[in-house]
Amino acid sequence: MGPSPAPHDSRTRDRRDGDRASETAPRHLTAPPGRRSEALEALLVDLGSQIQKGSARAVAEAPRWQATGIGPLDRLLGGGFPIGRLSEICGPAEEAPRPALAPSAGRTAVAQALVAEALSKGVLVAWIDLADAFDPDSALETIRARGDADTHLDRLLWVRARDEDEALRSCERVMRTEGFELVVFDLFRPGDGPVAKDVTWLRLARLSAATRTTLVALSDGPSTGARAELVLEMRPRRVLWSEPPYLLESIETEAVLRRHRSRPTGEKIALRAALNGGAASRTSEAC
Amino acid sequence: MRVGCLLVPDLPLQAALRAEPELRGRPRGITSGPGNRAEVVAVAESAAKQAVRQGQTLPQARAVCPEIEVRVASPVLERTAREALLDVALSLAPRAEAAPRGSGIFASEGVVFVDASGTTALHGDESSFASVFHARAERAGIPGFVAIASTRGVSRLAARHLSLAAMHRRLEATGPESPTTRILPREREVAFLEPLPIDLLDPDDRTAEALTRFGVRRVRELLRLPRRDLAARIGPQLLELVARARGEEEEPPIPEPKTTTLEEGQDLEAAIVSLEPLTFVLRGLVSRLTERLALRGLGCTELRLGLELENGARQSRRVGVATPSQDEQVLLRLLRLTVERAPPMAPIESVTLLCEALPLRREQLDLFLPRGPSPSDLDQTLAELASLCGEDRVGAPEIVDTHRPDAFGLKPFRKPKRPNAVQGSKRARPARQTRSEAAHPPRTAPPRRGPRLSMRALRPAVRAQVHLVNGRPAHLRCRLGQGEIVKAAGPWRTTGHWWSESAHFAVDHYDIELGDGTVLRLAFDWKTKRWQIDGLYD
Repeated sequence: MGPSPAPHDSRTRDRRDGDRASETAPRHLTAPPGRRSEALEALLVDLGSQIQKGSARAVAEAPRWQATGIGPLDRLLGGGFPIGRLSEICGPAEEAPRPALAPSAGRTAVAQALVAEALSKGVLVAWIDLADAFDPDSALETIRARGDADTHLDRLLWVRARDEDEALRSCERVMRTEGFELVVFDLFRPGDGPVAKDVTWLRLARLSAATRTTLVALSDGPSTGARAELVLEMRPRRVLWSEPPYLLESIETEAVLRRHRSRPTGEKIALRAALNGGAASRTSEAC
Repeated sequence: MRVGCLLVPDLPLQAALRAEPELRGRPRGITSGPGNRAEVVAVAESAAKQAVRQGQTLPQARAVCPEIEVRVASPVLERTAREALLDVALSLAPRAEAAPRGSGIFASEGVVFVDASGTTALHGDESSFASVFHARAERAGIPGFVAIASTRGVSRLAARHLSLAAMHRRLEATGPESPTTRILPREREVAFLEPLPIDLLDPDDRTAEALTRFGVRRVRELLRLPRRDLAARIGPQLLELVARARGEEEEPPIPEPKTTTLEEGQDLEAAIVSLEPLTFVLRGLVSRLTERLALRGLGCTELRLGLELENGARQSRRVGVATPSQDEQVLLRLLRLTVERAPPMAPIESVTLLCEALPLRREQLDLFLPRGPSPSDLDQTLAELASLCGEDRVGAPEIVDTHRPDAFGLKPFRKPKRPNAVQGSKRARPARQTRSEAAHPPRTAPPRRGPRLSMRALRPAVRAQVHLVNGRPAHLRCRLGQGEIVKAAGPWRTTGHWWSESAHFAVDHYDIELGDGTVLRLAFDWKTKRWQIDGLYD
């Protein structure tokens, strides 16, 4: 057993800490009770401009949301994807090694719902397609499912990048163009590893904030690290088929809030991504 | 009718100076061709003061003015300078025309006529109109002389008279500054014409020779001669000359040109190999082009860049502009990106730039929709993206009218002018269905509690090996993985273009679920007898 500290030692330490605290504490706290109001006023005068700046910034940077149009999901996200921030929609995080063929988890369905909702508000949207996986038919059906006109698709800029460098440079170029309020960066390529380094995501996140563009990364697994304001993880639950003869009807997924600056993480909801129509109506076609 | 005439006496020189304005004021001459045998066809004032004259050979000109800088006459520059003159005229009145060469116009002259009738409401009087006409031509880099009279012929003679007077004054360097504009009222036209030499009326050679034989040298003497007898002796062309001398020439009205295609070009002294000097040349062309667009209140909607290469080949590039634009920087950047995207394969000898133009219109903003990018910003972005990724890889998605499984379209992205996408305004669904919609027709309105299941395309499709059990896919193996197929739906057969051997397709599609929850679209191509995965449900 070691020697216990002497009582006078601890008192000395407390007193020293107290002195140090009084040196660093604000004046309005350390001033005598009778003069605290004067000290507080002096402090306000000293910090006045900074306080105003801070409040103005807080008002200017108040987050707004780009809704997906899916009620439960928007409630989970606190309104939608934050405007002027980097967000991510990704697949399950815990699987390692990750299979090349990712399970169907509804990532693209959520991203296309977000795009359709934004297009319905008249904004221009860009889809940076590193995976070259964008399906115009599918996007149009999502738009039609909302009851919107086909011409909404004309406001979607589709960039089919051939490699990571093209995709990143295209993404930055589009974000620097005033008017594109939503940019989806699709880097979900079956069988490929992470695309961008952390510093790249940092740059994109800053650019997103500077240009007030909603940047949504669509990836197989979490890839944006701590740079994303919001990370939505989509997990597959089950695939629903009709009674025999089997016909694909929908997939049930789980949307988990993995990261959010202002909401508790770990919350989850169940989603069902369904094809329009169902088993009975599906017919073969020939032309 | 009152006709204004702008006459540029030394057009080859002014056209060259318009392309290289930094050489203005220095002794300069234009020769008819390369080599020492070529004649000087136009001389700058500073060289003329040192006794350089038209018709001299290049060695003769260098003997009297060693520092003279010489350029070969460029047909492209002259043609575009004439067009620029017409643009200057059209900036003042809607009816204007360029005088065709050979119709009383000297080869080195550039002449443009404008209908000056009814312009007093805008310019006060004809004198102000002429001053503005002259000033605009000077600002366009083609200074000349302006005269207004009742006919094209008289106005042209008056303008030419001004130019000759100015030339004499410059050479002799005496007397006051000669005027650059002149207004000839109808009643004073004959008095103006009478003392002029016959040559100014530009008679044909036979008539000029006959009149010289008769001792007729001035218009006054011509008008004193009996008209009928002269016509009998010399020919009917003399009557036309007399009418011109009296200012009574019959002329058709000045037309209103409708063309909105502008051209600028330049022949290069030395072939250009790299992009940097080409950008410098393009900057000059675009600068002159935008000046002309501004004169006419037009905006460029399309540029066609023509390059003549050293190996004799011609290359052409088309640059679309989303909204009519006069912005020099925007047009130049679009051109530069286009050339960077596909650089020429040989040194460039000549550059031409054709511009399709439309009247400028202000953008009408919508009260209820976001403003979106400005047309010039959008153009630059699209051009840079096309340069980066390829022109066929950037655009708006387009539904192709076919059932071919791998078909997709990409059309040029344009900012919608009046989006019909205001929230709440719904349009009737068109009759044509997408491929997947035909396969999955909607029964009821979809619930909004979940998204619609989307498809991710695999381009190119991934080859696969499929093990069949009882004719049904039971096991899948491909480069992305392998697994047991727990559920499969299908096949749905799609065939088309059976009339064409090359375009014919016949595909059986299956929706399959693997053991790990992956839902894929599997296809069997009857043409190649191969299995492939062409989509992932996600």
